[in-house]
Amino acid sequence: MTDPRTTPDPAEPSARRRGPADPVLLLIRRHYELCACAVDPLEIAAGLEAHGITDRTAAQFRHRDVFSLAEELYARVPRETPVDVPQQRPTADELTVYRLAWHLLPAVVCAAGTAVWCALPARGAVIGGGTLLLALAAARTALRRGPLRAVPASGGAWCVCWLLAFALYGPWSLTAAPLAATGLLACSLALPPAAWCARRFALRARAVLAVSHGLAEFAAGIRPSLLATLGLFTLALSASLATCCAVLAHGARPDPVALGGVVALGLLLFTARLLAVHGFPAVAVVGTGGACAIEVLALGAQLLGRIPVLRFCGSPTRALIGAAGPGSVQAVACATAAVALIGYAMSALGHTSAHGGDRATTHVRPALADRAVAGDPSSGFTQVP
Amino acid sequence: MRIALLTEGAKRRPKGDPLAWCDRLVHGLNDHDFELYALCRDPQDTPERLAERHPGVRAVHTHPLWGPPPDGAPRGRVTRRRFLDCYQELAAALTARPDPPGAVDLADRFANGLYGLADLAHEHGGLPAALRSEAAVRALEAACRAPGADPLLGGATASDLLTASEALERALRPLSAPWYDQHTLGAADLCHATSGGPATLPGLLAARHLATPLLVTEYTVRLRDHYLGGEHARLPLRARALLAALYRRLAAESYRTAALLTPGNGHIRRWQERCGGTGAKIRTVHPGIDAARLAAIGEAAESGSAEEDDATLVWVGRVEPAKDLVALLHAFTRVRLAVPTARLRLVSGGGRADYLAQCRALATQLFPDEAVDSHHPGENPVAFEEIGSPYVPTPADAYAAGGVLVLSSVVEGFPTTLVEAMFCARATVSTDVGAVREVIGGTGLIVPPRNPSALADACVELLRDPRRRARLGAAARARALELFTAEQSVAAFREIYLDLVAHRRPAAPHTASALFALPAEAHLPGSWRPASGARRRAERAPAWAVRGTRRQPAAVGALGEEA
Repeated sequence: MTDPRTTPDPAEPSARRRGPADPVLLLIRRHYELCACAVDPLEIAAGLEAHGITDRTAAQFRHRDVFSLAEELYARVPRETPVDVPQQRPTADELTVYRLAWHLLPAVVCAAGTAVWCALPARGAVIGGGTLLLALAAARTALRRGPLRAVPASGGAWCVCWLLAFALYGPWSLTAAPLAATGLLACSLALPPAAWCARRFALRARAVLAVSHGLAEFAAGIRPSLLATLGLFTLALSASLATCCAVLAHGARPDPVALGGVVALGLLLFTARLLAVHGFPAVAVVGTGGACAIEVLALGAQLLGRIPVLRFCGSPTRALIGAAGPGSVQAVACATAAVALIGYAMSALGHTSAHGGDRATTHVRPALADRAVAGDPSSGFTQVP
Repeated sequence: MRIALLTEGAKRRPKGDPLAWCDRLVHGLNDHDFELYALCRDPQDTPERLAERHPGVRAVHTHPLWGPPPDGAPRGRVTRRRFLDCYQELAAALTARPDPPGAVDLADRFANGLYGLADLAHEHGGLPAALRSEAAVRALEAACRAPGADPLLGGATASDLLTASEALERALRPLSAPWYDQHTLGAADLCHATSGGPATLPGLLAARHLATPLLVTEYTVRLRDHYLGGEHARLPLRARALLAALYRRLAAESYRTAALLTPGNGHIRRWQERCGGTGAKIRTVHPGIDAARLAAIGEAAESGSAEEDDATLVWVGRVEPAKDLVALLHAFTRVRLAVPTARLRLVSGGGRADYLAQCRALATQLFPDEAVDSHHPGENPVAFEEIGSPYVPTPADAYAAGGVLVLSSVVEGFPTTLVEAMFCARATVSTDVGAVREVIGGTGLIVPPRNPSALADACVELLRDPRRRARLGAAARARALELFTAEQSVAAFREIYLDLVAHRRPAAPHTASALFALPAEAHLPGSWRPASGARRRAERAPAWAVRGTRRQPAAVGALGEEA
């Protein structure tokens, strides 16, 4: 760093610049952050070189080369354990106003369909079908953005289509009861709260990740959060269902089993989506597919039971409907699948690997190369701004 | 001879293609077949685009390192158990304290884990999904908490472990590349990695399974670049430690396995020796510079037709803080005191606009405009120009514009501008950084970095002594022509290729056991291997036929042609 030619004559002690007894200490103070945050001596060596320290400079510190100087620095400076770094929130999963509008679209479609149906009750089946198709298309568009975005799995969409169609036509096809638009409307209204719950769960998982000192601690910390998320969603769904009943039923007392069926359906769809978002799309398809299978079986048995010879086939379905009303098939199917999926989610979403991806990226500090030289106070002259 | 060039693409490609020297190599050694194996970080790097960018390469294979990992974890309990065993070995080597190089035990554990994972990827696939699974994160946690692990890693949080396992998965993605069979890397006679680090991974596997010799050329230290780079800085501390350990062990393993290392200068050589390369395996090959466009200027300067009393200093390069232009401007104030007619031209070839603006402001503050008398418009003694502008259309014009080239860098790798100035027979004053000392030899003045007064003194010395300037310039040109031409570098690689292939061990086990299994032609350049079908026929042939073949090696080729 000093030019040998400009070094004053050692014969004049007063003119000689008096350096510190420990020259490396100066270097440590100058490059403290580099040394404290380095993960191995080679990183310090790389950083020192980026600051212009060469083997010749290292010789002034009585070291053979930069590497051995870096080793001394690494050994002398204690490692600095970082404070909790602010996590960078991925913008891809944010719930903006624009995305919220997209999530409200299916509810708008369903409300419009219900209004038309109320005006023309004779064409109920056709209007219901058209509304269902439009609402599904809107939901598909909404789910491509925001916190419920997931890798598509083959068959998943068909299962959801069937479940919603059965919610609409199920009681009608089983017992010729009137169409039940309440379930579909309530589910579509619950889509924005579902997105908000998923977003909340993702944020909560990241927060727990940052403070957990191990995988077991993370699993213990995230499970209550998952239960809370599911509970919040159930509350929101129940609220929207109550609203729908109040508006549509005109004071008639609704069937509690059918209402339970709608809640179970919503919870099943939400859990399946949550699993798909966190990297388990296949499990989600299995869960919703199981519910579909139960419904198909019940419907098939009912249809077969209409043939006189095979009348015994329809007896279980008939018994169920007789005991608990036409909504009981959906309630049983969806509740069974939802309980199974929630059980799986409690284990699978407790794994850290389910919360990976770009969710875990952080910005700790600028790259060494960008900081090198520019902000170095050791350069012997002021830099004019 | 078939040569596999292994490269690693950068996400944001810096200005100036880093593979320019490879293109020169491919062009210069056109009697060999080159195939490019590129690990891509940029979705836009398709094989077609790469083939377009590097003409002369016979085939281009790419493997993406970006995006989410492909689905499908390995199935079966035995496979998963094997994966865990390998990953635990790898994790144990990564979480151990940074040891002095030469600790064989951990290096072996790392190699066992790495090659085990590669075997698994080759046989069953699905390695990326397995590396991201919960079991892998759990194995990493166990390794961090194990006795003997780096105390820093003991406090790893769940977030650190997750981030680290994802980073490790991305870094190990070359293990899943579909290149390790008889039609791709198996068909190559030589793997030439054009940088260290991940690009050497395919070469390591080829060297292990197919006994293909691996040549590693480093013109920048990949490990050092990793420490200074953005990926390293983005990660949290403990994840950074784990990823850095992977890069460090990978560098050591590649230096250990490679048949030859060719660093671009002495600085890189010291890093390689530090990280486990042995001196006998290292041979410095300076990057060659295409000197044809500079030849005219150099000849003109040597014949003395250039103006004799040119008092202009030239600086050429990218405008960056590492170039320390501020020191140069301060030095120039002192030069002006001694030589009032001196001028300084700063020719930029890109760089940071904010730093350039800062330097411009400093220059206008230090040097007011000057005119010869009261009737002429003034001019600043410091001129900022850009390559491509009408005054300096090409870099060659930049060197022609002045009598002395100044290099004021604080940090420097291989100083290309200095070498180009040497080709132009210019006297040079440079700071003692990077590879400057070994490049310049005795043909220019060297001063310590960050020392404007020493820089000024050296410049004044040269400006006042045109004859010394001419002598130094001529010597510099002679040295550059001897050491740094592109032809010299290509010739060095030609020789290295032949040498490595000649000493190649036989690949397949059935040929390894047989005496004289490889015919003499195997050591000749060119396509000497018979087609694969022909070889099988030769194996099935009766003993007397094979004996006959061995007596007349040329017949092997003929048989191959017929088949």
